[in-house]
Amino acid sequence: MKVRIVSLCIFLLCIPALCVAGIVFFRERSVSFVCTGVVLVMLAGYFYVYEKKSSPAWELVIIALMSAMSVLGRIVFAFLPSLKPCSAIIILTAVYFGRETGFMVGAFTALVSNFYFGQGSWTPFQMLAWGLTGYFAGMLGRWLSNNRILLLLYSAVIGVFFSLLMDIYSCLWMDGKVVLSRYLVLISSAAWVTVSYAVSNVVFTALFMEPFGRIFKRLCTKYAIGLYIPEASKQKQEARN
Amino acid sequence: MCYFRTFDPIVPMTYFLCVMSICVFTANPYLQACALLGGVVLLLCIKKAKALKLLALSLAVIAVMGATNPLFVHRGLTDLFYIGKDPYTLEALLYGLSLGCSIASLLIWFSVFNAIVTQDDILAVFGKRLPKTALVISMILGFIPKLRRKYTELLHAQYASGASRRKSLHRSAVLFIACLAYEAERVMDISMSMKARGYGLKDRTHAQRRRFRKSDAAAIAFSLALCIVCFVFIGKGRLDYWYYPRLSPNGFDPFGVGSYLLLCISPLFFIVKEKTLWRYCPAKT
Amino acid sequence: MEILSCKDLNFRYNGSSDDTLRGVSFSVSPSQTVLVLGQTGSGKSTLLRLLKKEIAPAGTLSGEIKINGRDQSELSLLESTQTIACVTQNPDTQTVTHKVSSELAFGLESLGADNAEILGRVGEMAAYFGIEDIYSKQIDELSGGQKQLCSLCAAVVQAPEILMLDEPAAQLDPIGTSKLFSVLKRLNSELGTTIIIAEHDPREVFEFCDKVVVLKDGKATCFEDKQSFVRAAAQDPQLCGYIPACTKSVLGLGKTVFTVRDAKNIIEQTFAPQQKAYADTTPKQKEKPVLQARNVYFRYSKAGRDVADCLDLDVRKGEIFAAVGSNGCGKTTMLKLLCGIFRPWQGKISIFGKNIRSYKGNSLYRENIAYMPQDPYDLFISQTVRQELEKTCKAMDAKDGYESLCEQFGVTHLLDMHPFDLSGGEIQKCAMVKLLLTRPEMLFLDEPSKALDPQAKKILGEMLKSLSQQGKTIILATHDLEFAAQYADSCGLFFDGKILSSASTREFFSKNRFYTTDASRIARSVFPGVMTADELEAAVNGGDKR
Repeated sequence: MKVRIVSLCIFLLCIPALCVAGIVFFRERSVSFVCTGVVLVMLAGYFYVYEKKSSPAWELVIIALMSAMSVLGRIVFAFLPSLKPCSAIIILTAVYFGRETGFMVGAFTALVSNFYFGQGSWTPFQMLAWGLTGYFAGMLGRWLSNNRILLLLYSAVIGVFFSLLMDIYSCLWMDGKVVLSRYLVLISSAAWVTVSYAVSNVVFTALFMEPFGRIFKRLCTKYAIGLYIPEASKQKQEARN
Repeated sequence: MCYFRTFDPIVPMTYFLCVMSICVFTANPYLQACALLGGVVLLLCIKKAKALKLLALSLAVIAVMGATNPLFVHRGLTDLFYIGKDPYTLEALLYGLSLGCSIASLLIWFSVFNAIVTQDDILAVFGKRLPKTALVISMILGFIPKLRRKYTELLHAQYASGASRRKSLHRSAVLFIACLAYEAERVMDISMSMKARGYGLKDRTHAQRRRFRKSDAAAIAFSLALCIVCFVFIGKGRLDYWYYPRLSPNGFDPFGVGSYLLLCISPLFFIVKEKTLWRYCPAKT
Repeated sequence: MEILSCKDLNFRYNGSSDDTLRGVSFSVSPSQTVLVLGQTGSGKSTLLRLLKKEIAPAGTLSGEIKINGRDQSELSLLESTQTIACVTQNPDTQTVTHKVSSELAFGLESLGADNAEILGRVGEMAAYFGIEDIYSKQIDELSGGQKQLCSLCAAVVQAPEILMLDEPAAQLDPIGTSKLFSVLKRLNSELGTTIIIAEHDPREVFEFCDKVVVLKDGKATCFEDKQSFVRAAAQDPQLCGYIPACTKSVLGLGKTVFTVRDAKNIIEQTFAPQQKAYADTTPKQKEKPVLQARNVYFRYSKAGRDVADCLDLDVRKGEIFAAVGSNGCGKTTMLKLLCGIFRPWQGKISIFGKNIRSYKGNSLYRENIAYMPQDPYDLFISQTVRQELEKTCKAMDAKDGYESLCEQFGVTHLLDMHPFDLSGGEIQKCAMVKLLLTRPEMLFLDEPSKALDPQAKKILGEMLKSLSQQGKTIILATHDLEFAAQYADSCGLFFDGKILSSASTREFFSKNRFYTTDASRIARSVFPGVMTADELEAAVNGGDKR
């Protein structure tokens, strides 16, 4: 709790400070400065909170394994142009292991895959975008894990969302602020990419959905780890009532 | 290159943060020129001929940004010609070039960053403040080759049971899942090994192979000081520059620009020093 | 006072109906080395894991475990970490980080030690164990033996009083094994660390162990010294396999020794050298070669080194050929080349007189050859064994052909299990069934005897023998010389990218001076041609005394 309060204060102090600094120092391009700063502060804050929380060993290895799997996925499926399984893996991990694990897997996927494909200014944005992909999936886990169609829908929507977010990023770097006309041009020129994100998310989620669930449930029973399975917790609640 | 190794990894990272925090966000052409100059010189020193490709790309980016910006922005008083009803202005063109320079300098500086800052440096910097995060990154880096090897083994076992060698989405996915199923159980044993070695006992620490020294502090102070000087001049408005409606006549402050130039080319000092050191190195004879 | 004692341990896994351990009691004095023996599934690993409560399996436990006179549950995590360390079978499931340096520091980092202390202790230990050469490497670059050494060092960095090892050498080749055991011996003799070690192939442990605990069906029998164990085991056919060749050879003379040197001396003093070399009674008829490799070259990348370098090989029909060699020398690559997974960039491989490239589609892998990878689990990607076998049957257009084979191999009760729940021996039998479903004439096996207990090894060997009698050709790559000596018809040393000194097994082992079995080393000067422990025993019992 204390950690949360401290981090909240930092958030509340840092973000306005960044805004002021951006406006004072870089009039023309204050927006991009503020955005980058806010993204960095959010990531730092999240990592700090996570660091202070004590997490069991299995959680760390699952985060590491799933991040490594999505980096491997980028390599294994490289022969398919523009189909990447990363988001699908992040979403499924988040659905079964909760939002925090989902966020961490997303953020680490971006960070570590850029060790291989080159770090750049896009790293923090990618970390946040993939992190949020996992976070929201974890938040909606209760519904997503029971309903396949909803899960596929979510993965399609999040693919579009991811692409739009990365377009905002490109726009920020091109103009130093979001110019609507430029943004629209970018979106339309990147329409193919957006579609491929959505399609690859749906394809891979559909392919992985059932086997991943099976593997995770097997781990849960064999190693007695606390899998975040909504049905189970629901049953527990019912049993309590 | 060796010289950067003698510093704590936090030093180059702070340095790059200082340089990039200004060159990317400023619209001042003098500062951008400094950043580009410093970046190009450093890149050439480190990567030699391999850098030419990136430099060509950067030039292309600058050209494209310059040419396309006036199509979206019609501010500025000096009309060059008209496209349809909209004017194509000189100011917008120059602003586009300046945007291009921002992106180009970002590309170039990140390339220098990737050449100097290694995986282990990033881990070391993370590790000091966030040991758990550093541990997870290290685990991921360890898992990736393991997973790759397993995937290859599974693939070979498939070949040997007569599967075709053409890659298909379905087969790759099946193997990918098999790889996860196998490794997921192995990984649980790893968590066992972590527990056996006392994971979860107290606040973790992270072993640094290098200690933070006075020279590190001095180097950080140097970068930060020059950066702050620039920020002060920017804040005072001495380095303000605008393109619209007409190009700004001022924006050149010798101190501000000079300190940023010094910041950008300061690593050159170490590169030259290293070259001379090795040339007249007593160990050689 | 005992450093560790167990009394009436009973343990039952969650969801299981049988007790895995039944009334196990034993005690360990400080600085002792205790060897725990037992077949796969006898509860060895369970027992070892129960001794360290952090990694204890989930289930119900009764009885008491005392460490340093205190009950196990009273120990805090810190005390427990500093008292007991643990190393398991597979080095890949113990290394947590990506570099050796950070792996060694892991334990101290968890204790929250400061930087100077961590670096000091890790450096001190790396220097003591002589692993400076791998200190700054990535773990991925290491060989299996180096990985295991690294995890051993990582486990003992906190200077524990007790070290537990669960089949630490099961995945290692002879060189890696002896390096590991020499380190263990030093830990025990120079630092007085108490060692509890479970091992299938206890040859090297016998030299320095003080006490033997045998687990059978969850019950423990303790032998206070190794001599009494050897005496008891000689009577018991199930334990017989655990007695090392050197000990076995002179048992008939009423002596108990634990080194090759002593056994050799005793035999040389007792017997006069025999003129007639021990030879196979029925030499195999020379058949036509069915596998031929000529001038084969292979490398992984254009700039790389040739892993197969002018490889020539002939294997005859119905033969069991063993390619021996240390780990990482390229045996696996050779097998993959021979069975067409890799393509050589130069040279020709022909199978049944036909170039391997002229087999179209998957015809090579249907009724011709089959390949068993080093890790037989790789063959099973379905959720149950049955599904996998059904899939193979379907691919072969055979209807329900697997049941009789399963019965023959005794795996029918395993059909509905998840492949990962099977033990090493069980999965191997299932893998063999899967391979035989494709009705191959030639089998390629990569390290088939790895991580098997003596009985499972024997079953595997008999299985191979009977297959070869049915006319199937078997090619195996192994570092297990005893296994090759016992079951192969001909052997070749794989070194420097080629097969050197390929000969019939007996010729191969009696010619080799260093790279040979213990029995051959002992008997060399007295009974030429003897190469397995059984033969040596027979020779000793029937030999002319001086």
